[in-house]
This record gives sequence, structure tokens and C-alpha cells, in this order.
Amino acid sequence: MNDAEMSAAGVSAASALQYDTDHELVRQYLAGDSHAFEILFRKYQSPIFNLVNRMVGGEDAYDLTQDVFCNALRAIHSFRGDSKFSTWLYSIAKNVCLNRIRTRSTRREESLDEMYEVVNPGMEIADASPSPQSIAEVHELQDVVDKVLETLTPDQRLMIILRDFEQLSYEEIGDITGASLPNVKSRLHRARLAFKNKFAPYIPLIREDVL
Amino acid sequence: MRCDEVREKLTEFTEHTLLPKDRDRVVEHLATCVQCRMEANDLAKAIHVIRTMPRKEPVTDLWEEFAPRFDAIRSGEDSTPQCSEDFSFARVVDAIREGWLIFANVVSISTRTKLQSLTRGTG
Repeated sequence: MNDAEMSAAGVSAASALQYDTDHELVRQYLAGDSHAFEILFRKYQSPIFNLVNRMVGGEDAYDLTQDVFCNALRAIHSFRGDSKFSTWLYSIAKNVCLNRIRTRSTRREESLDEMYEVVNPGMEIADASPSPQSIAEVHELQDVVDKVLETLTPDQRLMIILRDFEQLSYEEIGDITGASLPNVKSRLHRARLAFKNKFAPYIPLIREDVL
Repeated sequence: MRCDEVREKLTEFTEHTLLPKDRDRVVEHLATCVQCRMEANDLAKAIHVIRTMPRKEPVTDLWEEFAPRFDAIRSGEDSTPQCSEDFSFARVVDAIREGWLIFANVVSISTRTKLQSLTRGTG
């Protein structure tokens, strides 16, 4: 992408610099410099680990982070360079996480169904979200946020993580999820509303100085 | 602007990404609608809380931990399947489903052919 194209696409100077740096590192790696991959890994291990950890709720986060980078390493020859490296990597992370969640939920449904049939036939599964009383006692805002996030759908969680934790642009989220800009905005809005509705009981319990 | 129209725009309003014209209309509505104002405040607080959460950071040096597997991939010695176990499971399910569809189609075609030949025989 040349300067004019970047400008037309609304890519900022800082973003363009990162774009060039990452592409250069990929090019160096493909030319035989294995250290270039280590630089890319160290640059992106934290955001990818954060994404994976929050998507899968901490479970298996290390293994899945490793899977993301292994998949990236295997596919790096097919990285065309027409998008940012970070966007490409986030797409791989998204697929790895959604795949794990899909399988885990199938297994969990099966095992929970079996368990409840044996222990409590016909009874509803209890709501696992924390009570307002518990946050008042332990003041663990982070735990509550994590627990509320866990109650969202994987897509809602993904939208919030990409936008609010990783602070990616709508355009980058669109590239990662394969969605149009209006669709990204709409899905993000729904995700935030879902979070806000589930988090609402805790808002009055949070001290003003935290907000 | 109606309440439902305003609420659809609250995410963009909170992020200051609305067009000035839309932003002014939302502000105008919020000035007179208590319910929407509360909704906007709660949404802004919820987003702020999320954005102030620290990143989940790995507690160990992941490069040291993962480097042997990366080396194996580079040298072509990594025996781990490219797709995780879960993906492989999904592929098996897909393959079974696909196989079943092919089988059903074959049976269907074969039955139709037999029926046609029987019909011709009786005709």
C-alpha cells in the first residue's frame, strides 16, 4: 500500500509506521531471519493472550495462545500483506477461540445435562453470575466484569474485547470479523447493551472515584 | 427524535463518533428525557469500567515456553496437527454428515431408477 492509498484509507501516521514495521518483519522472517518472528511474537503476545484469556474465560489461555502463534507461523507464507499483520493475527486468534468455545459448550452441555439428570432431574441450572451483595463485600470489580463478560455470547464478548479492551478501530474489527462497518457498529452496540444490562445492578455499588 | 432512535445511537454518542447533526439531536433529546439520559449514563459507565480494566498478562515468558514448538514447526518436525483436536472433531462430524448426504442421494437416485424401470415394465 503506498502513501496515497494509506491516506485514502484513513491510516494514521503511527498506524502506517506499525504497518510497515510488521510487514518488514514478516518479509525478514520469510527471507530466513527467524529472529524477526520472535520480535513479532513479543510485540503481540500480550494483546493475543488478553484476547484469548477473556474469550475463553482464562481456561486453556496458554495453550490457545500457543495455538494462535503456531497457526500463524504455519500460515505466514500465505500472509498476503494486504491487511495489517495485527489484524491477520487477531483473525487467527478469533478462529481459535470460537472453535474452542464451540466444542467446549457442546461438551459442557452434554456433561451438565447428564449431571443434572442424575442429581436434580427436571430442575433449572442456577445462575452463576455474582450477586450485588458479593461485589459489595469483596469489591472485586475485575472479577465481576470477567463474570459478566462470561455470560455474554462469544460474538458479543469478541466485539467488546476488540473495541474496548484492545481499542481497535471499527475498520480493523470489520477486517477481523469479516463484517461491514454498519454491521460492526450494530453488533458492538448490542454487545455493550447486553453488558450494560447485566452489569447494571453493580453500577450503584461502585465508588464514584473508580468511575 | 424518538427514544428508540436515540438509544440506537448511544454507543456512537458515547464514543463521540456521531455526525454533528445527529449528536445535536441526541443531546436535545437527552436534555428532556430522563429515561434515555439514565440509559446513556449507565452505558457510559459500563464502557468506562471495561476500558479501565487491566490487560490479562501471561505470568511467564511465553517465548521461552513456546520456542521449542516454533522451532519444530520451522524445521517441519512438528507432529501436532495444524488444526486443534476440536477442529478435527468438527471436521469428522462434517465428513460424516457429508457422507450421509451422499449415501442418501445415491439411495434416492437408485430407488427412482428402479421405480422408473418398474413403471416402464408394467406400462
